[in-house]
Order: sequence, then structure tokens, then C-alpha cells
Amino acid sequence: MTKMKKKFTRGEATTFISRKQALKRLQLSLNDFRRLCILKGVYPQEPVNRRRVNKGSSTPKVYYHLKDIQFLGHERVMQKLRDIKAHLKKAKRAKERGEMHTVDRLQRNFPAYTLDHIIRERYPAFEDAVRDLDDCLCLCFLFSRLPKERGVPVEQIRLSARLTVQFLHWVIAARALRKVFVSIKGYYFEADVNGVSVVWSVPHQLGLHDPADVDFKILRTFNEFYTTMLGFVNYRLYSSLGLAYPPALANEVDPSDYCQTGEAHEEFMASLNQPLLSRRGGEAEGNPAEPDDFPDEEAEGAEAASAARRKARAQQRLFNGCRFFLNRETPRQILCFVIRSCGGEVSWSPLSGPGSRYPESDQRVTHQIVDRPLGDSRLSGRAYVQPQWVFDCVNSGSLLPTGDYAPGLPPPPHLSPFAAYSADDADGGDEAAQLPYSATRSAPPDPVELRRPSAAAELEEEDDDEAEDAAKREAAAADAAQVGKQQKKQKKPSVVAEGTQRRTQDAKQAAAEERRLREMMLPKKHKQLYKKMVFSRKRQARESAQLAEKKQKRQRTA
Amino acid sequence: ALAMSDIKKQPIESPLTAPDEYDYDSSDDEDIRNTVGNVPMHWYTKYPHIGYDTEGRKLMKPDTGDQLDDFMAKMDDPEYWRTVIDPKTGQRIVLCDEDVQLVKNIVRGRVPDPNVDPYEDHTDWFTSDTMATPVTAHPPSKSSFVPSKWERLRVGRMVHAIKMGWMLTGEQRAEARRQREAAARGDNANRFYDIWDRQAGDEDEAIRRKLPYIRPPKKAPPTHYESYNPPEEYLFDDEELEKWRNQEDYERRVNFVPTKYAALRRVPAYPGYTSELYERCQDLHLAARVVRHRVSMDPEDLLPKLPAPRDLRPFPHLRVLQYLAWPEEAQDSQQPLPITACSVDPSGQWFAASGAGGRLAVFELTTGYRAWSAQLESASEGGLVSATWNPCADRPCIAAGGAGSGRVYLVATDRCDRLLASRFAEAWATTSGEQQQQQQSAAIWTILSTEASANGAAITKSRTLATVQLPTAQGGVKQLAWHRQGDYFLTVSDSGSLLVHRLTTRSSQSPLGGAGKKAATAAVCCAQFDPVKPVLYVAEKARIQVYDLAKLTKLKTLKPNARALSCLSVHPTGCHLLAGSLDSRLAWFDLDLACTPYKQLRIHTDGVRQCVVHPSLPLSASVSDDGSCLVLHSRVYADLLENPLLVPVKRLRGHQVGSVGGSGIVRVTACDFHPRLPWLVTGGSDGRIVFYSS
Repeated sequence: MTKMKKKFTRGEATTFISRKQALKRLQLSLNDFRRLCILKGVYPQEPVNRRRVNKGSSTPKVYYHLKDIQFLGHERVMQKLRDIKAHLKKAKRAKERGEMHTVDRLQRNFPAYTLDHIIRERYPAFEDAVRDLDDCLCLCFLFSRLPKERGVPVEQIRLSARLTVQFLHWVIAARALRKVFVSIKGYYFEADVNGVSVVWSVPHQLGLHDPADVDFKILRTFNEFYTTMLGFVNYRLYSSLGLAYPPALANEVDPSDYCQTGEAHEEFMASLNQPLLSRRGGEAEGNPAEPDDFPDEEAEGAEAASAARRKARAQQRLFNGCRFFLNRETPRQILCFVIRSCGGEVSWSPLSGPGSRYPESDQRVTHQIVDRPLGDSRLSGRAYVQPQWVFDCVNSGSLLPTGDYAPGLPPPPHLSPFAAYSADDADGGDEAAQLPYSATRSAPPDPVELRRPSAAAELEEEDDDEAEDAAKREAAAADAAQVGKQQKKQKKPSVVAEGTQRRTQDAKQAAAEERRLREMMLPKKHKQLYKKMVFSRKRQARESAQLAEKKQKRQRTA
Repeated sequence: ALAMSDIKKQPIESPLTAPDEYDYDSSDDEDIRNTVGNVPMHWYTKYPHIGYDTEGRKLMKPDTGDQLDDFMAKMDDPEYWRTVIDPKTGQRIVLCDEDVQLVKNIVRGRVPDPNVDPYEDHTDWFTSDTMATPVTAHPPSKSSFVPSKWERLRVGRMVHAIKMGWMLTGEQRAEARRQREAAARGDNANRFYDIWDRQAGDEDEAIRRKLPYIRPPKKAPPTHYESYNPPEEYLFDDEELEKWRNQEDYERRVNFVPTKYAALRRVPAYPGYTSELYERCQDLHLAARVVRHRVSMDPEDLLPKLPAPRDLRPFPHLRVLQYLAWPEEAQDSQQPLPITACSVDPSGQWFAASGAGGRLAVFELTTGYRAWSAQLESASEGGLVSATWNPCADRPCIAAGGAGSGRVYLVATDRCDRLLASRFAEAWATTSGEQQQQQQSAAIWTILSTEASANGAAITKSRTLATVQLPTAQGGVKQLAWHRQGDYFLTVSDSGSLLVHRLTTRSSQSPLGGAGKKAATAAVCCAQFDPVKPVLYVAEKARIQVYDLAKLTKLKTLKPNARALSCLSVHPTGCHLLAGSLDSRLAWFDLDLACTPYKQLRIHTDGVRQCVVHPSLPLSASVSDDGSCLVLHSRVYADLLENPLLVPVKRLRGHQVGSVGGSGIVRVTACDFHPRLPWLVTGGSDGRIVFYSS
């Protein structure tokens, strides 16, 4: 007789190990383990059967794949983490003993590690890194705006700031900006990085809050990895455009005015208003990455794709020939970035900061961006607009009339280019999303007119009279009250005859009933999925109906 | 040396008067009485004292006189030129000749002490000449001529460390320092390079993570709600704001209150920005990732493709008539008692209905005219159930069972062809004599009217022909069903026993077990005869037994996947069976196919009371406690390979629509089809009868 097989010695029970076991196996503290997981991109796994993995117990635990833990065990950074721990211990001991020479020596030989090999390992191709760039940019932009007091090393903050500025410079040079959105949380941008759309957010500048519930240790570790990644990505992006890396300004700048000599380079870089030096030495402007055009594309969304390309091309030269002047109350870096990404020229008062190129009195200025009520002190020959005009122009891909955005007046609503806008129709197309609100506002759509009968209802209408009459007769008693209510509720268009409306209603009802009968025959296998889908659609429809109703109500009261 | 000279100047006393030599200790170290140490003496210029003695007392400065005294001394004192002031004590000291000579030698750059000869002859203690015999005889140690092993090992370790990059050379260290400083400034220029300059090779594969990388989901893109200047309708009104405030975090559709700012410059920093990013980071490294394929399909595609009901006409869908069966009953007791059964006669002109009030009535189908009505049982006994018209036109009679009394009433009706009625009456009269010859019956037959044959006028009147009393142990009648040929009918009693009765012999028997004996099977819920074959379908609680009546054997057991079967109906071909259950299911069996249902229909939300298959058209119907009657198109094909087509075509809610009074939902309790036309009659718990036509 063969030996009895013991339970939990093979299969899932051995494939996964809990976090505690992993710590023991790797001989790491929880902090170091987390750090390693963040750097290596290792995340917990969800076993198919938790009870089987946990040897019959259902205590909630975090599980890692055994192979992941083995993989972490081969990481050379892990040894460095241990070295650092030992090193800190030694340094502390020496310091307490007053052996300053030892402290000095230890400090000199502090174990340093790089994450280059991890970048290469996690992102074998450049495209992989670009696809994961969203979170990277968000965190780097946050770090670049942190005050230098929060227990975050200044080097990390400065490095983040430098790298994000470098990235913005690339976007400007490549004219890759596609969408901008000003939300109450911050600015959202979408750029086209080598065909991959990358979305990131930048917090508002003023008064970043210090949250008590945030563990900056974790954010720092993420940032450590992301700065390395962003550096390599920047290098690659710069080389693809033929720009010199590390970036240098094409023109000599005069640092004497408003900053120290050592900081001049950084300050002028951060102003985003100077062209970069190309690798050959000249000014690297005017070589935007043109979106490729494939005329004989046979893909399904070929038309939509070519429309997107057309729009992208329009965005790249949107502000060509426009000269902007920014008033001091506007967000300078953001506006400069957006305008220059679309081919415009920007300047501001030299008193606001470095990077100014021409004075306010310059005759060639076409637009002045103002964010406060303006008195009579207006110069002729230029349009005064609010900052939102710039963002709405970029999203629509065309220069909008400036009249709606005059300073001191409430501007038209600012819509998210990332979401479709249509209060009346839940399935609003992409085209509607890209229209600025002003276009929709100028001709407010009448919901009654625009509401198309559904395909099923149309079919029913074509049906023979007998069925209609029958349905009508049957439903008449039941729905007399309901119909009356609905009629009262709906503003009845005068052109629509009552009989037609009732017939349409009956047909609709018949269609709904037919649908209910079909639903009854739904196999059990699909019932849950079907219910979910219908639920979400109904909710969507309900929400958009609520929005439409609110809009109507406001229009009526206004 | 100065101190020495000072001592020499002390007056020499005679030994007798000489003080103890310890009073003025001449030892070099202890002679210095001032204990301030080697400090600049100008620190004391402001003070009257010049230091402290060994006891800690202040040493006062001696009186040095003023400038005049100094001048006088210069003029008078011949020793003035060799007098100096000791900075430690403030005393004037006259230098002796040797001291003067010493000072002079130093000033001239000579050897200070004249007694020292700097150029005296060198005595060569260890000569270079090799002696004939060594001074020491021990042999030299090996280490004295072999390079140090430990040094070699140590150097080796250092070389190794340098090679491995563990140890830095001075140059490397300087370079590292430069880089560190550059990093601190944030501009180590050559930190980054083209890391993706070559394609991923095998060595990359070897170090790569073995599990597939699941890319984290992108963050949800911002909506219009998030705009700093959203359209008006996106802002919360008071009600929505209140609702948002009272919701938990996970219930909210947006985690912020939409706000409108008049200008961009007024937008403050978002308080939760860092926290949100932190949450995202937490998710990235703490959340398990699972790939879920999102279904991007129209829910319409999931629905089964069925022919449209309008293509499957005719079927009953128009409510034509609705009336109370016994209006007088409704007047007596405000709540009309439910209809328990409907049954349409073979000609299709009339139908019989029985009620819980114990009445039996015959109505004209198309007009609702009540042709005949009789109170057969009292309501307190439980009324009548299962009034069923004999399906054979030659035997125009109705059978109805007493729910409480356990009595079956056979009622001859005059609503038929007179010829047929008289023939039946005659046949009944002639066969009544055979009652005595019958050996044994499971139930007691009581013949009420046999005289009809004599009186020609009476035979065409409706009257009760006979009653069949079931054994009292079996309780009341639950269900009653005729055989197609109209000679046999079966009864199912409350206790679940089944009896088959024969008209011509007026006898009853128990096919499943002997009369009086305990039934061989489990309690029967309902039963039906096969219309074609000598087969009996007996529904127990959760299964259906199929018996061959000719051979008296069990053919098979059907498993309808239901827990409380309530009704059965056999397709006119005898190949299909429809079974309804109180757990709101309907099962369609293809009897040639399998013992499990061909289709399970969960089309009702409450228990199914009765189901009927149309005798000639591809239709079936079921009525349920949920107050609706569902009409199914049920087409059966002659081709055995083709599956039956079952399509629900209409849900009839006639009983709910016009009903007045009563509480709660109106249950539909009975239904029957017209034998040839797509017409349907239903009875409900509100005592109403509804007639539907196509």
C-alpha cells in the first residue's frame, strides 16, 4: 500500500505563501519587504481557493506567489538594503561613542544602489515603460511641488522637478499635447507619447495640504523608482527628437537679473519658455512629431482614427502665429506649456519670473490672458481672454471666439475632454465630447425634438393596425391613468397629434412586453450578466435623464 | 633657567638661622608658585592679582613703582640693563653673567650653551666591518627575509574588494563624492543613458519575473463633475448635497462635491490630492491583480432569438368578457369565493365551472350566459373542485369532486345535442342494472336517477346521475381527470391515493395498490391519462411516474427538478408533457427524449396552479398565484429530430385589471382552452371568469 498523501503539501497550498512567511523566508523587515515589492513591481495574488491555500482556515491573509518571492530573493538591491541597515547601525554606534572619524568614513562609504537593472527588467521595451507612465508622471509632478520640509529629501524633490520639466519640454518640442482639463483637483493633461496616450495630473499650485494619513515612506520609494524610470524615458524621448540630453538651452541666458548664477539654468529651464539645444548644436524647434497617416487603413475605426489624426495635426499648429502675454495672476508654467505645445509664443512681465521674451506693450501681441476684472487700461489690437479660452481651444482643436471669455464675465462651462458631454443622450458620441460647451450652448437642444424613438418602437409602428388596436384596447384600461400622468408631466409639443402619441406609446408598450417575454426565456447562465448590464444601462439613462431635467429646470428659472 | 638664576640670588644664611629648606622648595616644578599655567599673562593686566598659589589664594601683583621710579632706577641702578620682569610673578630679576651670555649667544645665532660642542667627533658604535664572529649567534627568522604573508593577504583582500567594486580607490572615492554632490544638486548629467538600446535578449529573460505582468488598470478619467467650472446641472442641489453627506464613501458616485469657481485664480489646492495619490500607490503594491474580461456587448445579444409573437398568431390575447360566476354568492358574503375549475365542453359552446362555494354552473362561452347552476355541496365542507366535462361527446356529463366530503358528483347535462343526451340517458339506465353484478368496488356508487329512461322529458334536463363516495380515510377529492374516451375517470384524494372509476360498470379500483390497502407509492399530487396510449402519468411531490395500464408496470420516472408538483397536462400526441409546480416552475418534457425536462421555464413568480395544452392548436397556458396567465406557443414537429418550439407569447393579467375589492393579489386558479379555437377561459380567486379570444 502506498503511503498516504498528506493534505496541503502540493498544489495551491504550496504555490502561494502568506506575507509573514515571505518575510521570514527573505529575512527582511516589513518595511524593507514593501520597498522591495514596490521597486520590483511585485504585487499580491488572489488564490482561486483561499481556504485551500490557508490549510483549511479562512482567516483573511495577503498571499504572494512563491515564484515572486523566489524572484525577490535573487535581487541584488535586497543585499544593499541589508547593508544599509547594518551600516546605519554602525554609524549610530560610532556616533554615540563619539568616534567621528568612523562616522565620517561610514558616511563616505554609504552603500549606494541604482535601479537601472530593475527598469530594464520590468520594462524590456521602451513602449512598456511608456504605457506605465501615467502613475509615474502623477507622482513625480506631486513630488516636484512638495515643500522642502516634509521629511522628503531635497534631492528627490529637485530631481523630480528637473525630470518633469524635461518631460514638459519634450511635449512642447514634439507638440504632443492632446487634451487639457482644469478640475477642482488639479490640471489633467493628455499627451501622445509615441502613439500611446499618457494622462497625468498636476496639483494646483497654492497651499498643498499636508495629509496626516499618508505614509511618505511609501511614496518616496515609489518616487525613487519613478524618477529613475522617467530619466531613462526622457533620455529616449529626447534622442528620438534629436535633442541634446541632458537638455541645454539653445540661447545664452542672462542670469544676472533675477536669480543666482548657479540656479539660472534650472530657472530658465523651468520657465519652459526657451527653446532647447539640439544634438547638432542648433535650436531644436519646428520638428513636431507628425502623426502618421495611413490612407489605406482597413481597420474598423479607420474613419475615427483619421479624424483623430486630423485633429491632432490641427492642435499642433493651433496657436501658430499667436503671441500671448500672461498677466501675473495666471498660472504661468501651465499656460506657457499649453500654448507652446500648440505652437504659440508666450511672454510675461519680467518681474513675474525669468523667461520673459517681450514686454506687455509689444505691438505684435495678439492675445492677453487675464484672470481678473479688467479696467479701462486695455491696449488696442489684442484680445483679452480668460485662461479657460486656451484650454477650450486645445480641446476643440480650433480657435474659439474670444467674446465668451472676456475678462470679468463668467466664462462658459468648462467640460472634461475625457468624458462625453450630452445631457440628453447617454450614448453621446465622441464628437459631442470634443465640442466646447459654447457651441452646444448657443443652440440649446430641445430634448423633446431630439429624442429619437428607439428602433424597436419604429418597428412596432410599421406593424399592422390590428395588433396596434388590440394592444391599445388591452392596455387602455391599465394605462389610462399612467398616460394621463405622463402627458401632464411632459410638455406636449403642439405639432404632435394626440392620437399619434398614443399609438406610439402603445407600440412602445408592446415592444417592452415583447422584450419582457424574451427575458423570461433567458438561460440561467446568462441571467446575472444580463441583469447587471441592464442595471448599469438603466442607471446611466436615469442619470442622464436627471441631468437633462435639472438643466431644463435651471433654464426655466433663469 | 631663569628660575635657577633666581634661586642663586637668594641670600645665603648661616646654617643655624637657615629656614627649613621646604619653605622655599627649589625643585623646578614646584618653584613656580603661580598656578595659572601656560596662559597669556595679559589676561591679568586688569586685575590686582597675577594668579593663584598652590593653596588657591590670589597672588597679588608686587609694587613695581611708577614711570618715575623706573626712570630713577635707569639712572641710578647699574644693573638696570640686566634686570627683567618675570611675567609670572611680576618680580624684577637681575640676570647673572651666564644668563646674559646665553641671551647674547641666542641673539647672535650661536649655540646657546658654550659648553656644548656641536662638532665633536662621531663615535661609530656599529661599524660596517663584518666581524669574524657574530655578536649574537641565533639564526635570522624567516619573516625577516620573506615578504609578510599577512600583508599579502590583506592586500589581496583589498585588491579583490576593488575588483568587485566593494572598495573604492582614492580616485573612485573622489569621483563618487563628486557624483554625490551632483546628485544633491540634482544634476548628475550622465546618470541616464539609452537603457533600451538593444532588444531584450536571453540574459534579460533569465532575470525576468516568471509570472505574467498584469498592467494596473488606468485611473478613471475625470468627468464633467470634476470641472472647476461645470455646467449648472452638474452642481448638487440641496437634496443631492444632503444625500451625498449622508452616504458612506463607497456609496458615493463622486468623492467630492462639485463646485463652481468664478475664476481660475480662485481655485484652491484640492485637500485630498496627496491622499488620493497615496491610495493609488497603495493599490499598486498591495492589491491583488486579477484580469477580468469586460463584456462590451449589447444586453440584447444575450436574449434568446425567438420568433416575434406577432408571427405566431393566433393566440388568446384579448380580454372579451369578464363576469362574476355567482353574483348572488357575492351578495351573501362580501368576498366572492374562488373558482376552482373551468372546463369547456367538447363542442366548445359551453363550459362548466365549479366554485369553492360548492356550486356547479354551466355557462355559454361566448356570451357569459349562465345556463344552469346548482348547489351541490355546502361551502363549509370546502366546496367543489375540479369540475371536468367529459371529453367524449357521446357521454355528455360533468364530474366534480367535493373537496371536503370526498364525494364525486356525476352530473348529466342538457347542454348538448338532444339525441346524444337521450342516448346517454338510455345507456345509463340500461347499464345501471349491472351495478348489482359488480363484485367489488373501491368506492361506493350511489345511483340517483335511473328513472330518466322512462320519462322522455326528464332525460334532457340537467341532473345528478350518481355520486361516488371515496373511502373516508382518503379525505376529500383533490383532482379529477377524464380519460379521452369518456368511460374512465380518475380521482386523486387529499391523502394522495388514486382511484380509477368506470362509468359503464359503475365500479372503482385502485390501479397503484389494492383498495383499502396502503398505496404502494408515495402520495399522489395529481394524475392524467395519456390521450392515445393506455398510460397513466402520476405526479408525486417531486417526480412523475409513468405507468403502463395494460401491462400494469411502471414505464419510467420523470424528474422535473421541482419540489411541489401541482398540475400536469399531456400533449394531444401523447409525446410531450407539461408539468407545473408550486415553486413557480413549468417543465416541458419530451417523453421520447429524456426523463429530464426538455425546457425549464421560470416564467411565473409564484406557484403554478394549472397548466393546459391546447387539444388541437400549438398553444399551452399556465395560470399562477402571481395573478397572471401565460400563453405559450408550443409547436411540436413531426420530425423527431427537431426540438419543440416554446415561445411565451402573451402574459394575460385580466384578473388584476378589472377586479374590485379584495385584498392583495388576485390568484388565477383555473383555465381551459376551447377544443378547436385559440380561446381561453380562466377563473380566479375573485370569483370571476375571464374569457380571452384571439
